[in-house]
Amino acid sequence: MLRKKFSLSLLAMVVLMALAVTGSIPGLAAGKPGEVTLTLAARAGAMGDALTESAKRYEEITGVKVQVVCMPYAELKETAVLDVRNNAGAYDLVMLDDPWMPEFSQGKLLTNLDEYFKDGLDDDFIENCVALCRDPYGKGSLFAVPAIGNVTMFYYRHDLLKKYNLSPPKTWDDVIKIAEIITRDEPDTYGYVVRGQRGNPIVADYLPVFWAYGGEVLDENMKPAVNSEAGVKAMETYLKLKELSPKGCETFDSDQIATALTQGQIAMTIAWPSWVSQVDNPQSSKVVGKIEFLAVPGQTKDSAAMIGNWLLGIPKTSRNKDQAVEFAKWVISPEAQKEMALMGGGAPTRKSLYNDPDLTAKYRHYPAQLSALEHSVARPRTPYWSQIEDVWGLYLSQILVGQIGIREGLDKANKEIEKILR
Amino acid sequence: MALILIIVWSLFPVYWMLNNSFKNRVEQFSAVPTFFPHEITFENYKELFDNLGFGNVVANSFTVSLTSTVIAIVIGSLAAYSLSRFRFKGKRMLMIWILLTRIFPPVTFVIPLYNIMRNAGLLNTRTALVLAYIVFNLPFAIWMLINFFNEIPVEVEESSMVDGATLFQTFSRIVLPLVLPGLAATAIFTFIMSWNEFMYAMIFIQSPNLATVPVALSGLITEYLVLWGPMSAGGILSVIPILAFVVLMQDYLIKGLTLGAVKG
Amino acid sequence: MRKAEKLTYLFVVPAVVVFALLTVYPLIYAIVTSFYKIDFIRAKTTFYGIQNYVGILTDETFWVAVKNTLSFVVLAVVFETLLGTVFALFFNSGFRFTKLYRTIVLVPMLLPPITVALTWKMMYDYNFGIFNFLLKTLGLSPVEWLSSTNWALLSVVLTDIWQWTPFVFLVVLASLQSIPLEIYESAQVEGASYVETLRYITLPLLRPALALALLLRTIDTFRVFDKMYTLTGGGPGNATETIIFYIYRYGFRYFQTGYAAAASIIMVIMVLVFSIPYIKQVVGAADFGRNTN
Repeated sequence: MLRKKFSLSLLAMVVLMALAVTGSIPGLAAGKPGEVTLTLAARAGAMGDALTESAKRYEEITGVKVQVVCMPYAELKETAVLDVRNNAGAYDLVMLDDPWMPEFSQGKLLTNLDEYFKDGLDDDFIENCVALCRDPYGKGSLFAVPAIGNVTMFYYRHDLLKKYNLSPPKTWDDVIKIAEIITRDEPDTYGYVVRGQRGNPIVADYLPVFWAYGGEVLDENMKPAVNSEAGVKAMETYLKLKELSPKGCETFDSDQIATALTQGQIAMTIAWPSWVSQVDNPQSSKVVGKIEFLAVPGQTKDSAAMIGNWLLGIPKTSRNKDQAVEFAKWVISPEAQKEMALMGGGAPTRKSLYNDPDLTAKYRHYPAQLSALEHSVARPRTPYWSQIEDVWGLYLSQILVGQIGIREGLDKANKEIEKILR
Repeated sequence: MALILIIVWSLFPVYWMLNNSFKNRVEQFSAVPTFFPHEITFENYKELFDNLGFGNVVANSFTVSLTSTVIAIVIGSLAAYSLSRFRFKGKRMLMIWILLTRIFPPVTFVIPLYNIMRNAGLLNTRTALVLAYIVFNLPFAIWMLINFFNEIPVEVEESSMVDGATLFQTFSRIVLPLVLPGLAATAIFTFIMSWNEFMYAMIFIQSPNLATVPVALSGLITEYLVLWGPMSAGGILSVIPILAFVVLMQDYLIKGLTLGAVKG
Repeated sequence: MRKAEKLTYLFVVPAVVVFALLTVYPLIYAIVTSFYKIDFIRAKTTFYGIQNYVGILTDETFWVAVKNTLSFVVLAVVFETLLGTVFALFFNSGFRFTKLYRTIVLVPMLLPPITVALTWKMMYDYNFGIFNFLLKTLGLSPVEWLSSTNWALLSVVLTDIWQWTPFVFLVVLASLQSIPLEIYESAQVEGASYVETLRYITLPLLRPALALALLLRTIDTFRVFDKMYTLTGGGPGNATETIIFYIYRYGFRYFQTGYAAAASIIMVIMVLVFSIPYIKQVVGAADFGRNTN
């Protein structure tokens, strides 16, 4: 009796399985013969969604289908590298975080685009964005096009600053002064918040402070100098900022920063402007209309906002390079960039769009962002950046939680970075 | 009392997930957490179906998990039976090899497996996933099942063999029903492991219409924010099909008891 | 134990074919590449002898990772086994609605790991999390679950215990189900108490199942990655850096695949050393256990 039931359900499973497998086969051979489908690997999130929409528009206009595959940050890089190195040719376009550029172009993973853009990119593009796409930086061949023009900005609660009669900060010393007052006087509110999670987050958060004190990750001889006097001073400031941050910030990443900001828990922070629509959206924010934007403060040196663009490159192994270039041209065209920006899919890389009335009406921070972009600093252009960032981020995090002293930690980090570059 | 403790321990985080799946972002992070959403929103679930095509995604996961489970169980039970009962050359070697493939971190296998799949022209197919999952499910199934076969007294089979049944008949008619609880438990595990596997599913598949549940959910970790609401909703929805599978398999866990009592 | 008949080979053939096709190449690939310095992105490969191994074994961070991994494995496996066994014994005693309750106990294991890690991350949140809210309501001081170097690893362990206790529960339960009832009956006839039955009959019979559960959990906790990755990113500092995290960083962040392969092999050796007692138990049972002929 039982045996019968057992074999019956086994049979049922096999049938189900057979159905499922045969059902899947037609799905594999999509498209008619001769028709090209481009495949794009993108970062999941608002810009991935916007690209998907943009790709639909492109198909309506040109008839070329573009399939956008969205993935998390780490997986995007893994997939892209594996695809090219194993000659799979599955992707025709890949979105790249700008610090990956030297690694990708020197690893010869990308198609040189010079022959497709004989005159380079037009003058409307922000110079700092285009420079990222070239290897060597700013001067070499074009290996990608700038798709999304992100840059870090300084967020602050102007209502709180007004309440305590404070003017917006120009230096990191100002930031600490303001943060101390607000932490002390404003109930349940902290003056600042650091993004302290180990690795990429803490490095991205600390770098602007480091630069403001005149720090250089690599000196002119490409020797690391993270343990310079500037590094030590910047770290001292950073630790003070941590004291003025909500508890738990040692493992904060962007999401926790966003939560702290939108729940009205903090008064100031550095963040990427792309989720600015979120701070004015009552569904996700308690501080609608209370946030203002500034360039990141300076200290001994002028303000140095960190640029963090998303670029669009064409893997060397793509089998549809010509069509891929056409799509890349579409993505960076004024119409497409404007549409994507309106969808909340990220900032343009064209100057003209930052003065576009439709866009400035929607995004009040655009003028500030353009100036931040024009004065931005790029992360060091070395193919070993991923590794340097990770190692440096480990020691910065150790210093932040007090596992190691400032000098000892920075010295160790410097030594490790030397080893990487050797 | 103990029962209540066990239930609270097991279900509290699930309850919290369910709770969050009906909240908007402001309420998810309110200073005083709410044990029941003030404003129930279905947006999170809507988002899953509208933007992620969750129905299709679940179907993909189901196909891949079920296929790899069935194959792993069939091949695994045959191998485990023979490893449990017979002596042959290279047996120890084989067992250690099987175990080794399970111990290696999956990260280490990504590049070579990717190579194999590309050369076989299997990238971006569900077959690639089924095969990859067999690589880690089969060793698991074999080691689990050896243990369960060991528990069955050899005398049972011997009397059957004396009656003139062939080895295969003995295996399928006498032994298999006896290890049904073990088979059910193993099937549950292999199914779950396939259902929830992420890395291979991410790397071997490109078409969004072939994506599995964990891959679709990973898309909710966006560049600046984790979309907690849809993420929670996705967790809840993803459990339902597995739960159905588990409930189905559970009967065998229990029937094994009565059967074992009769035959043992 | 009988000697192999021809059919026996037929029984193992499918498994051997699968392993030959899908695991021989990856395993050899891992072993061979561990002796090369590989820069995967730039496709540069140079023979490196045992230098990768030397580099790893002299790296301070690696030893921190080893220490963290061992603490993680021991704590997680011990508690999962204890709790799982207790749950299984409890449910085996039989009462109403067992099926429902049994399903409930299994639920943590069924959830997707990403959602599990993220839900716990939310509950652990210092400022908005439910745990600290409950602690404050009880008049206790809140805990820095994820951001303090003392707590971070324990918090990750707790999440793993929650998720994988059901595994041990199910293995033990399945094994309990196959213990013939007569054994208990005869024990009852002889007037043994519950504790005596447990100690002298049930537990000895459960030994193989427990060894198996320990073995498989040990292997899998060594490989836990998603929880550290999502909950703490290996931090704060190096508080939750584990061997697998270390391998991942070198393999997939820096694409030094030779170095990562060497680290994997060191880890595999450690797992083997660590689990020799259980392996012996399981292999031994298969070799000599029911040796009646």
